[in-house]
Amino acid sequence: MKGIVLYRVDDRLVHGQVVVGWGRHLRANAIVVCSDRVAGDDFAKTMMEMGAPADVKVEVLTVTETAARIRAGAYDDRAAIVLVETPADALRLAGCGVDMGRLNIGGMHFRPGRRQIMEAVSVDADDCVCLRELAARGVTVYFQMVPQAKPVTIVEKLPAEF
Amino acid sequence: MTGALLVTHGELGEQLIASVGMIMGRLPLLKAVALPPDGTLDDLARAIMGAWHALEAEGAEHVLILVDMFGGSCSNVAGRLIRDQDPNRVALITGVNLPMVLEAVIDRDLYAFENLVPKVVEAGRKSIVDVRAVLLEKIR
Repeated sequence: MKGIVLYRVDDRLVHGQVVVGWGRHLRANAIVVCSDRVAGDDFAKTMMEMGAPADVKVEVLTVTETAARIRAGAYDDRAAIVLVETPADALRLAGCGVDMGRLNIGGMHFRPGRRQIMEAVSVDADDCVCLRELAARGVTVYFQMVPQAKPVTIVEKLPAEF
Repeated sequence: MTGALLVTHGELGEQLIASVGMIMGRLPLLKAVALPPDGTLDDLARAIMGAWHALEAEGAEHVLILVDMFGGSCSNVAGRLIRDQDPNRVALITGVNLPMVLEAVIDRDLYAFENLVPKVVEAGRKSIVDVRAVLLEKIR
């Protein structure tokens, strides 16, 4: 498979499930960390770059940089995984003209103020707004933590109100 | 396909399988045998043979035995059991860690058994990193 092989929301970004689980499963040779926060933090950036094996190129980019690279076809000859930390960043990416088609929801871990809707997925009001908006734009939003698990569609599980 | 059999002092192997589950999900042809604190070596040998045959009964054409420590009871017993076996049927690697188990199961259908074995050894070696040394070198 070529191009972007997975768009994923994962609040841990580069970690074992992504690098080994999805990366090996999809034969990815690039991981794009799409995060304004990490792009501005040299230490976090280095940790992300180190977390992948040598044959997987890690790029840490802001959301607008990521969108520009995707639209320019920078990953057409690669097999790239694009990671965002939050549904809000996924929506920003879509707002910059990236047509992701499907969006994998991986870890969105519990914090105070969030509501758990399934194992490893907790949402706040803003997450709900962004995920619904993505679905309304035609993105198939599904939860699937690891490759061997069954994908589960998620939007109907979102709480009606907070 | 290759079956993987973890043989460890205590429940380490079972827990490594649980850790693989966190990263990949549940996988077939992956088993663990524990040497309990009061276990005899004869019991261990029987347990290894039982799990080995169970893997073969479930369809494993090759069995990769991963033990925790070279020179320990698990590697001594497993070493004795594989000594007269066809090297294309069974292999034994020591020093098992999580990246090795992952390597043993992720792409096992892509490689011939004799090529999978060195890949698992290499995965283990490459997984050991002095993070501070590498980080400082990177940031400088």
